[in-house]
Amino acid sequence: MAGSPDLSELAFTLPAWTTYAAVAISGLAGATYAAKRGFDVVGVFSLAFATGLGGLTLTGVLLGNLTTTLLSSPWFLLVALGSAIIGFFFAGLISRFGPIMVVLDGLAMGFLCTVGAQEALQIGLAPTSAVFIGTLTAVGGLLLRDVLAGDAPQLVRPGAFIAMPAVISSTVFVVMVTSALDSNAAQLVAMATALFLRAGAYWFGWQTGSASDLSARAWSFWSRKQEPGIAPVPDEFAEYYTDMIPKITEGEHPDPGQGKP
Amino acid sequence: MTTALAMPGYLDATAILIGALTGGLYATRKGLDPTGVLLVAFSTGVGGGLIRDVLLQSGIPVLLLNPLFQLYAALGAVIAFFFGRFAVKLTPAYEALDTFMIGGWVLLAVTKAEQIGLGPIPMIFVATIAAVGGGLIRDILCHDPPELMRPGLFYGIAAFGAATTYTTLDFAGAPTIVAQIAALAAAVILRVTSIHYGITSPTPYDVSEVILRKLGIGIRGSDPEQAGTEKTKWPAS
Repeated sequence: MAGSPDLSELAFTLPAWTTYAAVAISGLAGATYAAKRGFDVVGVFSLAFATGLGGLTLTGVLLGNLTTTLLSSPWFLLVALGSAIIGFFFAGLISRFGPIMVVLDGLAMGFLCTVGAQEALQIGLAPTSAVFIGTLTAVGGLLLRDVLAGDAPQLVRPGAFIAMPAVISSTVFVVMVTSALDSNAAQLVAMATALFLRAGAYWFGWQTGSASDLSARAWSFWSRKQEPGIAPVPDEFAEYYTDMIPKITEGEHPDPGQGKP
Repeated sequence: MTTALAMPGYLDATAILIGALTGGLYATRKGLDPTGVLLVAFSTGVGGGLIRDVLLQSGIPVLLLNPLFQLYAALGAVIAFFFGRFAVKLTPAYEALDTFMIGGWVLLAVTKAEQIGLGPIPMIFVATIAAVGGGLIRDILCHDPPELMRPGLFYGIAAFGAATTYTTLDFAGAPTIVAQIAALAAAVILRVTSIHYGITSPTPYDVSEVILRKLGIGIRGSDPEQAGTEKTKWPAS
């Protein structure tokens, strides 16, 4: 597209180990989660791999370069393996460093967004697709973790900000890069955005709400306009909507033995 | 490194049939309808191979190229749906076959990974996923906590052991046939040992607690319940 820089010549100044660090941080989070859920050694390793490499793997499958990027060198797998081993033995310690993990996780999320978006832009995808790929790279691991562990994905449950920072940070990166700004600066800004939103969600309790139905409100607004004096129609379905959302709290799980004889 | 032998076609077919049968019986026991049984049986049978082919990205997945494979998966579903009670009586037979099939899936995947020139560690990774993928998809579809990750008898460990055995022997220069037999044997030995002696897979061992206690350091939130580090307790199955 016009005005875009030659993306194949863009090179980040961040050192190459940053990607491994991002994988390691996500992997540690996954391993800690598995340890907390009471999974065994296979569970800890699976979830460390899924959380650490899930996003990059999904991106690799979608872009068709998985075997040449992720699987061509052993290092990604070894880094994930290392984080699984650390998570297996030090899960208790890691889960006490909540704030530090939030900061590191925010940075890793921003970084993965830029890696995915950059890869998509390099093979000539449209900016919107690049935002999608960047978001998927950042949150894919988390999604895969919850699906594999048999939980309702944290990503789609009402609660702390998770996908929003990834979407916003990918958008910031793609907008900055396609408007011919320095991609290094774009990457740092995107990482700062993700960090700010994640940390803000953690410390100030920014939360996403569940779907709110505007139809009743719109109707009462309209009817008031027609005949002043009519009371607004109460949302009689409010209870129904709140019932629809399963109340799943951290650590709780539906009866594991259900359906088995 | 010797060149990989072509895997016999019936290995794939047996793996798919056995996988579909176990998946179908699982779905039947859960009381799913025909669609559910067919879906769960099909995905358990072909899931591992499909994940393998997607990860290796070597063209169209084998499942789609060979209509017989789909037939085998459907056959497993039909047997499980209509002859469930009879099939349950044969549980020891297909559990034995399932044990062999851990090694079978591993061999199919490592051979393919080797052909496209992956290194040893990615080979082990892909092979282990291919071997456990079917059961994992079954549990996701049935919305059960994954059997693979719960403390229990070795399954993932057997797959990992088989993949590691094959890859180590192969890269050490052993003849392919020796590596293949050793991999099959490794999976069977690990699984049978686990069943026979009742050895279950270990759960995370929190070293940090021990170290902190030894050092006499009490940090904020060292109460596991407060720190939210207490584990989920699984009911004995």
